[in-house]
Amino acid sequence: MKQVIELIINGEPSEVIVRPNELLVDVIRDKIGLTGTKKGCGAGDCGACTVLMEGKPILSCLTLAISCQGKHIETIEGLAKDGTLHPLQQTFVKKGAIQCGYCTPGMILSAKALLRKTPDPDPEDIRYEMAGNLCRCTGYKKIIEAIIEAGQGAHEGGPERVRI
Amino acid sequence: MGLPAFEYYCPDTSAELERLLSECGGQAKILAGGTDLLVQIKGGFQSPAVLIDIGNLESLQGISHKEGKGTEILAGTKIAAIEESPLIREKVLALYQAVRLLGSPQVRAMATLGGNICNASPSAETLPALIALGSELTVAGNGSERNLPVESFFLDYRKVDLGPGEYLKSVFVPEQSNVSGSAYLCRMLRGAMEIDIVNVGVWFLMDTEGRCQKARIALGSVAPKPFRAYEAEAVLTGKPLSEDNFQQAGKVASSESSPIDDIRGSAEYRRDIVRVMVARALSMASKSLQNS
Repeated sequence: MKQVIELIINGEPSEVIVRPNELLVDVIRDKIGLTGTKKGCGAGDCGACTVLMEGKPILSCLTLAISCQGKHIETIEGLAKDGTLHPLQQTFVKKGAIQCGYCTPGMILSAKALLRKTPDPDPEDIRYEMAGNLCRCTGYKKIIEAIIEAGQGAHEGGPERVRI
Repeated sequence: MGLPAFEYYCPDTSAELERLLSECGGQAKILAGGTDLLVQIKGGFQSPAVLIDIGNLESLQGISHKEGKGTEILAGTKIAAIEESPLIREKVLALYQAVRLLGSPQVRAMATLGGNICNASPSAETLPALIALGSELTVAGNGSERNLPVESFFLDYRKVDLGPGEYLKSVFVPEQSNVSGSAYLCRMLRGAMEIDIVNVGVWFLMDTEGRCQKARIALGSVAPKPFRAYEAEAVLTGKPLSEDNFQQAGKVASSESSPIDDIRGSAEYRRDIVRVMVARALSMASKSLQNS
């Protein structure tokens, strides 16, 4: 019972053949070839597999690919434009918010959704909206600082403006 | 972790959903947000032969309000949509308080209210809030519909009152008056992605003399299913809304709970914290009444 579905990943339509029991995370990694989306716990607890679907952060390890027909999906590979890192990627690097890096793609996508909702978040907003992403290196403080800085860039405009 | 094979259907209309449910009999499970069901299938706790995905069913999504009557939430409505709804915040505050504590932003963006109810976890966040608010469920299927109070939907541990061919269609929360107070509180360790140690929903209606005319106290995580602490409710009925009475209701609610020891907390601790949380929730509800 394989089926052809169309996914619009980072603005690019892709046709893939999927079985009903294939998970979105596996299709993104193994069939589309975008391995920036990470597999962690597989049970929705860690947030490493977070992608944005229609702008909202979702868990690709608990989503059937077949249910995503025609959906817009954004992965970490879609953030840098013309060789320039997204402001969140820049502030994560600048603040040292990346240690082993495994949680980073999910963290940045959750942060992007957060800044769309709350452009100038305080640490409390960030802790609430980022609660679904775990960092096993426990580098939370720097992650919060990086998000605050990216958000402030959004307010000031200019080269660091967050494209949301 | 892969998933075992299953047949998959994604109906576009409620009529198609009803037809699929009656054709598949007990073989099918409804897939809503997937945040519980897919974890259970991955873990081997369930292995349905057929999944019926209701994600495309717009007729099962939405929140509406009838002035003086109440608020209807269709079962396929996402938890995030409930959290973001100004209507829910204004009219159904205890449910807003509960959904803010459900899972994580990702889980709330995926999960549905109907899924949280039908999964029937004894610790589900929305259930004590909905029970306390006197909500009613509409179950549809086999060409008809029936209504029941939300607390009667839970038959036993993770067992709900859904027959073959039936599905949960909607939740109706009656309009709260300006002399009723409500609150939701839970005890957790981290503040997100948790199975609560105890969760509590309370509601009461005040009479013209400032006494409690009617009360509902609902508890989760301290019995095989969410339940109403009827004896604790009786403690409040006809009495002034005072801290002493709230404390007394907490004590009685504690004796009505039957928690287990597990990794999150001992039964002894849970019984004690029920006492504290019930009194605190009543006090919170009473303050919300004074401020309104």
